[in-house]
Amino acid sequence: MVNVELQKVSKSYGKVNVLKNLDLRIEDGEFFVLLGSSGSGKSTTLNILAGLDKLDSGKILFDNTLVNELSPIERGVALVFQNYALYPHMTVYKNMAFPLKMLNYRKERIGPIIKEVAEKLDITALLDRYPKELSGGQAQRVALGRALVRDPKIFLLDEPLSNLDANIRSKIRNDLKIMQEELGKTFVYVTHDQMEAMSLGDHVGILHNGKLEQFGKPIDIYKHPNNAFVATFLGDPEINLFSYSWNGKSFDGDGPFNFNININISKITMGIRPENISLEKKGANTMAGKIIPKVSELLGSHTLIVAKTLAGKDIKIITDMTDIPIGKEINVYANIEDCIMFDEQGETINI
Amino acid sequence: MKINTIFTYIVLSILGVFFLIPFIWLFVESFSPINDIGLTVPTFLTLKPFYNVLTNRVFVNSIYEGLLQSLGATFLSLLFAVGPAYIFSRKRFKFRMPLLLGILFLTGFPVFSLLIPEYVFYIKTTLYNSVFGVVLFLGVLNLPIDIWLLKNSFDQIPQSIERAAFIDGASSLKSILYVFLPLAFPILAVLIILDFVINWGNFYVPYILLSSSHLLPISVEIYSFFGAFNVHYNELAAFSIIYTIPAIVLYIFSQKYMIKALSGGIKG
Repeated sequence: MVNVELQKVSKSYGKVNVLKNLDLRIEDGEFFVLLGSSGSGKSTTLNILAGLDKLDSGKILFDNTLVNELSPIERGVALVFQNYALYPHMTVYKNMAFPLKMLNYRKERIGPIIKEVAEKLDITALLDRYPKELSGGQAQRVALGRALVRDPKIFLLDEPLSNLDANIRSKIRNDLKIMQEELGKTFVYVTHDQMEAMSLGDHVGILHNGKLEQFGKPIDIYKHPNNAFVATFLGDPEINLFSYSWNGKSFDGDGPFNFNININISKITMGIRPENISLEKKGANTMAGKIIPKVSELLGSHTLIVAKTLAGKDIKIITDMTDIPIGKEINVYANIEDCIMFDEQGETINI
Repeated sequence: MKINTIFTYIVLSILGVFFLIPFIWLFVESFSPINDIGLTVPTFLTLKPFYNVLTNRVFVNSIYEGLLQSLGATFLSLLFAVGPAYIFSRKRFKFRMPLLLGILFLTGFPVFSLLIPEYVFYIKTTLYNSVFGVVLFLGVLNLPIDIWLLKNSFDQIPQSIERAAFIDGASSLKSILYVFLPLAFPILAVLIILDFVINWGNFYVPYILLSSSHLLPISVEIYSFFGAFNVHYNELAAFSIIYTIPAIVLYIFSQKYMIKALSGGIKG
């Protein structure tokens, strides 16, 4: 039972400040996802949590106990590496036995533990194989198994799905989620893939340039991003952003809609997600505008339209309709409540 | 076949024969009844030269001394190479580069320039005329190249594997023992051969640092044939063939690893 807390953690490599006063709180037993693009400091955060890297300043607390100076074993953490890092000269069995061997467990005690874990992960048949004889998904499970045998309190996973083929990725993603719920352990999962973050995380932290931009439930972050960066980072296709300025009567800009809101800033950025724009007028729609579709892509259940506004700005729309007239002006509608407004610094304005 | 290719084959064959003649002579001579000089066809073949050599207590003792000193020195240099190789490969510290280049420089350092001061040093301590002294000197001679090659082989081991070992609770020593050395085994096998062959063939070091005849290894003992009034060339040839056997045996045993080490090494 572990709550993890990072307090004002800073870390730099040479002159590069990777983490700047990072505060983070991870609840016991939750699936926490740390999301960020490359170079955002997410892997560094994970290494610091694991005890692989020393931090320059700040505190790491596990259940309010300072663990800054403790080794990975003493902290009770296990790390699953991006490339699994299985020992190539050992069989699956020996790979999984290694952490126990390092704890000076006797052979008779190691056997049953491995058997149990292997059954849980469905890898009993693989125990005699060498890592190079495993598929990506199998290697992944062995890596998890090696982490499991020691019964750690916290699992740290460093982009565990990025080395897998696309077709098994979503299956393994589901397996991971189910396993986390069965084990009831705290998982800290690092990824650059917003889809993984949205689908797996109980809570998501978005890291950008070593700072936590936003923290919360995935859907809350998606609906109420703190700033334009977070809004752009989450969602695929990404949010449409338009610049608007006050012309005396209403806000006017390169987006398809003109609108009027009560605010005392003259220049704002309006963001609207592709699925919040519709081609048909529905009862409560408060805004209407025109776009010129350029391309329409059928994505199965829905269609993605890439279009230009009359001011020449790209806009993406997701709709259920097919048969989109390319090159002709069509009407679009949206609700002002679905829009997110940002000021010139990119911070969200509450309306 | 083109005329060029035929020509190449002819030239290479002649060269090959020239290179082979000494070996053929050695082989034929070692089975000859009389001490001939030059390549002659013996009237009959005999194992007498081998028998004479292997029943001579001085010669047998020199084989034993040779093995002891070569293997001892090989063990010594590998033992002391592992630690520095690991540290140079994995840790970053001040003067790492100068030290590494210093070691590289030492690999090309001529042995003979060290022998005279070493001789004086050994005389003044108790190391002169002791097997341990020879083992120590031979071991140190091979140390720089061992450190370099082992370091390069450690460099190939992915950092994530080292980190995994650390997460799994292995100390530096344990991760060297259980992860680094097994993964570097092909290079290790090559180094064992390389060191052994160099030590086994080293003449000057035992020749200068030893004086008692019962301590002389095979490389020095072979030389004693020429000191005798009548040189038994057939016995010399037989002894020379025995002299090459350990190296050949080691090559055969480690061939598998040789190929591995020279063709790519460790993959993560």
